[in-house]
Amino acid sequence: MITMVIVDGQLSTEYSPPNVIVADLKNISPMQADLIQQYFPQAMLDQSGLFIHVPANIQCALHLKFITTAQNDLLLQPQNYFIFDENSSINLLVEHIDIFSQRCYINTLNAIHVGKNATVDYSKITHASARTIRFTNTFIQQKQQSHVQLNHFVFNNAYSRDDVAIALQEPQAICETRGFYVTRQDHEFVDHQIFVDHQAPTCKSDMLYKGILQNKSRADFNGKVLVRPAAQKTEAHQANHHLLLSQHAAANAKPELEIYADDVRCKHGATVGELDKEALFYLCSRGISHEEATQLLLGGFAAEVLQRVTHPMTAEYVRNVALAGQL
Amino acid sequence: MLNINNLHVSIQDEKQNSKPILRGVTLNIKPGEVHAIMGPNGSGKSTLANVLAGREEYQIQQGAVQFNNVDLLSLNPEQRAAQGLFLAFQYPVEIPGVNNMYFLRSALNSLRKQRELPPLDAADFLMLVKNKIKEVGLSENFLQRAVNEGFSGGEKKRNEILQMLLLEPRFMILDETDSGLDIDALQMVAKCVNRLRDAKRSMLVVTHYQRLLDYIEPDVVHVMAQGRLLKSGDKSLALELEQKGYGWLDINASEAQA
Repeated sequence: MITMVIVDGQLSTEYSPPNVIVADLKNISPMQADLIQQYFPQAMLDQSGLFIHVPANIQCALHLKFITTAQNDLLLQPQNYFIFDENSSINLLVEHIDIFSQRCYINTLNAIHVGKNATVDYSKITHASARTIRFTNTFIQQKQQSHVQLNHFVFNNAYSRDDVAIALQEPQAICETRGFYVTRQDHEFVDHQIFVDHQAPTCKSDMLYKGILQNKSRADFNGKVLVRPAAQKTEAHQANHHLLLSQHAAANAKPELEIYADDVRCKHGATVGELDKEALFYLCSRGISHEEATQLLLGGFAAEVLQRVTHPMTAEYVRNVALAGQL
Repeated sequence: MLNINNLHVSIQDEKQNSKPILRGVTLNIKPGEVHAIMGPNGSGKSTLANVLAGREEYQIQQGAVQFNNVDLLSLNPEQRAAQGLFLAFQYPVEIPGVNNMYFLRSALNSLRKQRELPPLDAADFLMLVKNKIKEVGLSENFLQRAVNEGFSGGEKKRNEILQMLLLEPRFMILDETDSGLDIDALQMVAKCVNRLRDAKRSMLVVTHYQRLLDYIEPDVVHVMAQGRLLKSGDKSLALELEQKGYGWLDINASEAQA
């Protein structure tokens, strides 16, 4: 996996992985600009941001590290364009780290095109950003038989809102969106607004978001699946589960299905609860300390999401680096 | 070994009213003895088992429990386990996402730590658990699954017995372990329990049916009703109950006296 570093919005690595283009938007060629506008007609290319292009039949694994080091308050509004051509396969690990605890406001736009039969594993980790306010808008358009896995991991954010809109434009496209988040401080807030638009028949979508909330923190989840009249034989699942570890934490969940086709399988569910006292007693009655039993149960709660991170390096990274000390 | 003296326990119902369940239980179990408690539904048998293991939602109103001269009621559940107490649950809990093998090793190593023994590493533990799991008649796949999740009733009970074999407790409480078991599973439970039986280990067997006591022969049989031990005797008492039911004990009359 090749690591590329973006410091305060500037790409600081010169090279790209073989056959793959990773470029600052400011430095792209007119041909590349045309390519972006072909897929995203409204793109405004005079902004800061990245252009990532994986051509047809290419496989690649990429670790993008976005680091903010600003000593003063910082405002960033990057626009990132990702084009994954037919039959390409990409594993993307995107990480956001703040080195100094200054106030940052980061408003990101991601536009992602996934070509026919392409496979995308996109995992985003935001951590150690205790004073960062982060808005991210992600638009994904998927072509025939493409497969997207989107994993969101949020730890230690002052304010984090992720808006994701996925359009399944052609048959047999699959998208899996998952999230796992832990809030610890009183005023942390994590918000996921996930919208999956089934435009074509025989597509599948699966949404699973889980959060552990502590102290006076809050989390919102709003998942919506729209099944348009043409999208027969759609399969859509949606689930959101919160564990509240304090009396003062709060979670709002709104799972929505809006269905206009008549031959579909859709289900949704949401729960908000506390640690299972029966399970805790069971573990303790076997000699396991209350503290360790709690850790086991929290790990078990997280496992459902973590087990579905299929790329081994990403899974290991999430476990060892991001999750360490969070539960 | 275990001395229960005039134990009164209540629980709060949905309306926050305190409802007495145990109303003065006195019971002494010596090292090596097996005691069985039988009784009709709602008599307090399972409550007694759970109070001994340290379940929180019960309120101790009166009485004391000494376990090897330690005040058992002052200990939390994990300390009781460290003292050698083990409860085989009537309804073992499903714990999604927690690997069964990891759980078993954590439990064993927690107890070893409290007994100042070095932890078993993964390889040594694997050897040990592979041996034990054969005895309870579960396949090794069950080690890689989440604790009790999706197990059948019988498989859950076998997993309880596996924990018992691994943790080698000094005092075992079987809370209706026979319920939901077929004859083969019942004999397996009895075989495992009997193999652990020795002059230092004691046992409290809570059951509805005499059948289990054919295999695990008790030294003393008690009948519990309305939160009290009404009658005690040897194993012939269990046979008598099987034939006559509980009616002849005149449970309601004893209630009237109270």
